Amino acid sequence: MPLTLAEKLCAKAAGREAVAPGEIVTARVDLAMIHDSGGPRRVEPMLKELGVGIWDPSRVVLITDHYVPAVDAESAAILDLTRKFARRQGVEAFYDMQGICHVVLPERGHLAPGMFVAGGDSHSTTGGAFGAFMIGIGATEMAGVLATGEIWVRVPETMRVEWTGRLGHGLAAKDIMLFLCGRLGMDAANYRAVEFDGDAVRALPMSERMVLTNMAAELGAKVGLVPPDRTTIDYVTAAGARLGGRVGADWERWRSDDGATFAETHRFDAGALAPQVAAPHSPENAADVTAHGTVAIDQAYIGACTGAKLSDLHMAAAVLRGRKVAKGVRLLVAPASARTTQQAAADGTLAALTEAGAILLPSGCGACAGYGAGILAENEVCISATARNFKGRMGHGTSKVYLGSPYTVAASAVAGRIADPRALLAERSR
Amino acid sequence: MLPKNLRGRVAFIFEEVDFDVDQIIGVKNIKIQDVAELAKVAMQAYDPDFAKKVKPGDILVGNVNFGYGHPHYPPMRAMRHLGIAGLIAESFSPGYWRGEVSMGFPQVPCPGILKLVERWDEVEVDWASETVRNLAKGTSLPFEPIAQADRDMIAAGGLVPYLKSQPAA
Repeated sequence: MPLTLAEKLCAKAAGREAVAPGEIVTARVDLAMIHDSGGPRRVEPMLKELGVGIWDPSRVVLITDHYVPAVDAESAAILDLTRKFARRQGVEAFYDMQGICHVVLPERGHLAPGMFVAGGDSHSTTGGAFGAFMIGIGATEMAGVLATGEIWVRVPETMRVEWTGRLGHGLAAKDIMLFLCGRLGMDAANYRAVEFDGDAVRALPMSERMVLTNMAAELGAKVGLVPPDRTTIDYVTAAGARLGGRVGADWERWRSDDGATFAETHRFDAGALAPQVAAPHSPENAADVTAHGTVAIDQAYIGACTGAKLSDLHMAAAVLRGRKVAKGVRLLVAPASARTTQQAAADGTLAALTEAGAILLPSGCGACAGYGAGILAENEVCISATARNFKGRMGHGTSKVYLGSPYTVAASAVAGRIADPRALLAERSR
Repeated sequence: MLPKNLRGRVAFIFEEVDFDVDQIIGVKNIKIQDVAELAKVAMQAYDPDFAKKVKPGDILVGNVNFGYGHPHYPPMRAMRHLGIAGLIAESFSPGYWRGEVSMGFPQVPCPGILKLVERWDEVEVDWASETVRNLAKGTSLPFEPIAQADRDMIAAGGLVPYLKSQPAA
């Protein structure tokens, strides 16, 4: 029987030939990823209660990204506990302040097509960009995974989202996802796998595909997937496969079979898409950038797993090079990982950003999660390249966060109000 | 195995769709670990006297896609500390659903629940007949069937007790 990619991945993890949507199967976990917030401080007491250690420390990646660098005694204690846990439990793949988990994991070669991965964070769907079945789970379930190496899953139905054509200049994967949130709604993919495909998707580099699967979580998805192709394999190979992130010669089988059953299929034309901006307080409030009228901003934020990878910084620099951030506006940039910072420094991107007036912040979840620097005051307005804009998430309960692509955020920083990046980019090419 | 039936008053109705549970305690309080401290900050934005009004066994009600966003544990740990025994929602966000089920927190998806109950009505969740009853009004609604694995987890009191009860492999 023809299977979807999600079904194939579940079947492999369950040691079965085939599985059907709705079936509950026990999956062997190839890799577990945990971070300083939901990781050691919450799972260790449960492991103690169970009287066990980690089932296989070589299959665990531990990353500090939420409370880095420590800003008070509490966050310092959380990081201290996390570092001690890594030593006590023998977790060798411990990345301390190297960037945000969803970016560091593939960057350091831990992901490959065909894997089943459990991540202790709600944006763990990001890993599906690599053709891995990667799910986000809470700390209690993670304790179970760390104790046993297994987790049960209900095999999800698949929603296929096809983007034909090609994205216009000044558009990005973030525009695709904000558009989908607005068009389909925040629970459109409740517990489903969302499989992204089509010419426009296949033309995207891995960093942009990761935005699609990251924000599949915004649609309520269990997992977001992009079938692996040459682009995937080149990335994974260059990242240096380690800890199970090895590319099998069989990677071409990780795609949905012809005739597989999809619960729903959506087709959109990427060429017709305009830059999207989501108004407070939900990604669902997305509309064309021009539909929002004049919205003056206090802050522009380029950060987080979904908004500050190297390609995101390149987008911002394309707009900002030779321009200045508007008076009275602050542009904050928190590169997604240490490696991103190194690469952006080497290729001149950081200089373009800072010459325009951007302030650089440490790599971490930062203001996106409401923990780090860049918090908003009462009634302040921010446009952000992050994934979520819930009430109070980035600071005061009355602050307003709009979401947009790095292009749109950078253009808005220059204009001092929410702005269409296409005009600025067109000026440049003239 | 079936969990114990729930019977209690509707202590609060979260009418927001896509409700992010972080709002219950406020984003800035997520790093608090002490459950008594969490209980103190809970519901301040919604009903500052909530802790005084709630009784052990009371139930919460939510709208569509309840728990969307960050399915952090502290908010419902605080609620359980205050005596909340379960939650009924129009529907759940999957990450939140699994997270709380693994904590052993009884929850049921019941389309139509917002029309069935008002705040402080006494309700009953009957697992055997998969029904929510409004005892104050004498009305009822079926709830959506829950996977056996979820029911077992709730009945066991959560994943940690569940794993402890499993014979060693």
